[in-house]
Amino acid sequence: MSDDLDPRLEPWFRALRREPPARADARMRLQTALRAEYARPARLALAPQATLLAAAVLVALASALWFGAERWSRPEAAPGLAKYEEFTVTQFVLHADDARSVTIVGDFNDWDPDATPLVQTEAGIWMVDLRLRPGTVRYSFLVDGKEWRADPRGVPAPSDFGRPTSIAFITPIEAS
Amino acid sequence: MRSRSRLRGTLRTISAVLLVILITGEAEAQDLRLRERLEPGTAATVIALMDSARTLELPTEPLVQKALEGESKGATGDAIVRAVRSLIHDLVTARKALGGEIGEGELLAAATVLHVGGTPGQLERLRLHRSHAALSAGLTGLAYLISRGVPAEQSTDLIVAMLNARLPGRAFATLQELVETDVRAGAPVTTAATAHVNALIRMGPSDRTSGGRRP
Repeated sequence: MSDDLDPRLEPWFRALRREPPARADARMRLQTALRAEYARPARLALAPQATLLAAAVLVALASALWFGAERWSRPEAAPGLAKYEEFTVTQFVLHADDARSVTIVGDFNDWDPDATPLVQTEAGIWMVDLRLRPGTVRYSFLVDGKEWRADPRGVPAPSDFGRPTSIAFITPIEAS
Repeated sequence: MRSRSRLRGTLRTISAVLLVILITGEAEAQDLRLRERLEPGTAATVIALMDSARTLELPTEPLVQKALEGESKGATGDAIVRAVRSLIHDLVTARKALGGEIGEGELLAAATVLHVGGTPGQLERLRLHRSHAALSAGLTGLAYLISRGVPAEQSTDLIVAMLNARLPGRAFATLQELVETDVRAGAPVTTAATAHVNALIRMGPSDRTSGGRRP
């Protein structure tokens, strides 16, 4: 590169390239630090640990994605708060003499009218047990696929969409 | 030292990437459910609202459920969007009223309190109990009492009294069971609630609560 330079500039270049004088004590400190660093044995053993950890994280990720749809309703205790029972079995019952089918539709099944049928245990008594996470759960019964009914044993909920709706309060219980 | 810090950096990067993938994966799953069930225009609006909610660090799955509830019940797109907006508003108001960082469970219960007729002022009265283990149960109990017809201010008095007495979460479940039993037997709800709260407080934190759940 310097071959292309004006020869008159050459001395200036040389002067600029010259290493500035280093202080002896600074040079010593640097050399000591470098020696200490390179004298340290290589930590190749950490690489498999990192690989294992990454693999574990990937498995956790896959599990989280697999069960992701359920994840939202879990109340996460703030730091210092109690751990709660994860699920509570709750029984829902509807007395509907004239029904041919009854389903329960709510926050726990994406409001899918066909997802959760009730079973007729005796004439006109329809029942289902659901495992629900603590919190408030909005739901309705759907009779014969077309008639929305609130839970007569439940608590009425404000309806945003003009259909009878109930609300269940699944109280978070401290894990024993 | 260098290799250790390099390892730390690598792990941090992996964690960050996985977190992004996880959040993105969940968001895409939510979007898919909405696109499958809602009209395209309504789905797009709800998804945009959910993006805003994510920016505000609000839980988004309750918004999905609200939209799906509307679809299932044959609501119009406008009604669905209105309901989702209203829920976002309740979540924001609830968080502000309770102040600072609270868990998702507490936030959702507090938003329900607002939805069933409670006020931000009443939620603020529970702010002092933010570190109480039974706050989530207390908020759920408050939403229950208001929904059952106990005046909101009186419901708040009762729940604050229970929290002040350091009653555990089970006590709130028991209260709900006892009140339901009395209401079915024809007792006025406010009278029943007041009597049972006083009894539970007298029994103290180590009560023999049964841990029942729902009426």
